[in-house]
Amino acid sequence: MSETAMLHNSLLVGALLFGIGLIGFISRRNMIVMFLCAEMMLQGVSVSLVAWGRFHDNWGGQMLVIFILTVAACEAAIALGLILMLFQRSGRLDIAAWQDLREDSVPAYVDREIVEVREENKLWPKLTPSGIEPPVDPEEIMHREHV
Amino acid sequence: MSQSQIYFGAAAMILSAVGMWLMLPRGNAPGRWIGVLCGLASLVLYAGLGMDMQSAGVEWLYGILAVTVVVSAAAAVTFRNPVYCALWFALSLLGTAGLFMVQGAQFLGIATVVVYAGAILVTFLFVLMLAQPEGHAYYDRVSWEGMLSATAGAVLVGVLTMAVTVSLNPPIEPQVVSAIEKFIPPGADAPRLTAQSIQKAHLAKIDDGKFELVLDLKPYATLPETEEAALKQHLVTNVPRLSDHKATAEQLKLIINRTPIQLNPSDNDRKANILTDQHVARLGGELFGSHLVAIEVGGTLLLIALVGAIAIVAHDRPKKPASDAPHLATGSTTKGTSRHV
Repeated sequence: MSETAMLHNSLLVGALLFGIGLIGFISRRNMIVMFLCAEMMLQGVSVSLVAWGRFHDNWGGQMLVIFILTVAACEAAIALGLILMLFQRSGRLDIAAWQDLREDSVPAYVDREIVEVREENKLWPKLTPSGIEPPVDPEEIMHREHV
Repeated sequence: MSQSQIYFGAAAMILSAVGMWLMLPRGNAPGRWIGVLCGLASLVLYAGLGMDMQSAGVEWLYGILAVTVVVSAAAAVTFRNPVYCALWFALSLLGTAGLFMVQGAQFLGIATVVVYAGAILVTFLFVLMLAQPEGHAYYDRVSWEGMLSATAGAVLVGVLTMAVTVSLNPPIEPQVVSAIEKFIPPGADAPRLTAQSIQKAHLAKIDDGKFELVLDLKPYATLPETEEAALKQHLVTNVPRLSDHKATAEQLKLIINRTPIQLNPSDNDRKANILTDQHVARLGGELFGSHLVAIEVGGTLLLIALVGAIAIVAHDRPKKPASDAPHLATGSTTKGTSRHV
């Protein structure tokens, strides 16, 4: 009974991890957060696989998780390369900047309103100013909206 | 799966959908803390759907780790600042590694910490710091279709949970079990079967008023075939569901499986195989024995990914920053969006 219970609970945790990752992958717009969510879904699957392997007294589950780790490492390398390249082209991590890749029939996504930044949203670390203020690059100001 | 478990699962599903939707970035809309409360309530309900593990030490450890994993995963998805997202994800990974350890997969626990938390996550943070020094972009404070995605995720989890609960709990009818416990065979002076010897007791109504009872007995339970007729008579009068319908012994079809197939390995099997003391040695033997080709393919995949990543990053940079820039979502606050690096 105890082994069945452990399998049951692990499948529960795995399903929750997978579902949370799915929600994040669909709804977040930051490309890096999207990739974190994809990794989270892989973790959910890994938890389930290890639990099944233990339940059936079989090493296959752990083997599969090792290969999941391998593929996740590859995926991370490619994903970070892609993100860096996309960032260099658009200057943002926003996935909506690449909506030109959508199909013809899909209407363009338009941000209905820009969320104003409130004071409490600006959680900046408080650094003591020191030295002379360096000359500001105008291009830099355009790019970094809040610094 | 009992009626109460279905209600439990449905309530957990709805609460988690509402909670995730409220927690996701929705501009400056209020209600985030209500979402946190809904999420915690759904977590409690999901925990109620889990099964009792019947060994106190592991139970507490497992529970704490599972709650850590799920809560920090939800936080990783819902925090506005991507740096915090990455840090919460790291905590979630550590919890997952702990779960692996509890289940006896020690190597995988360590490998998860080293590979994920040590390498992948640090690289993510590096890219994050490189690419987004401001950390407060407006697109982190809005999300696509928060309600729809939360509903989709919650329904998926709810359906998976119910499917798991149904398939791992063999149906046991309490009425039948308590009736069988009182059954005294003719000629004997004490009940022969106890509740512990029953693995499955599924009573179903089939057409034209007939009933079918599938009874799986554990191997050590004894019920001679000569006593089956008496048991049938006893059940018809003592199980409320049958006596309410005034069912006769002829209308009840009794199917008894005396030795249910033992699919699950015993604890001793596990100690000799997957929970062995020489975990890494056995794992390595398995990996390089049965899965040698797969290992080679995995290594090649890593190499190709490395080459591909370098090729992507070192590929020709955009020549003209302004005209090459893609069409941006209108309404962006970012003005000089194309920065030639």
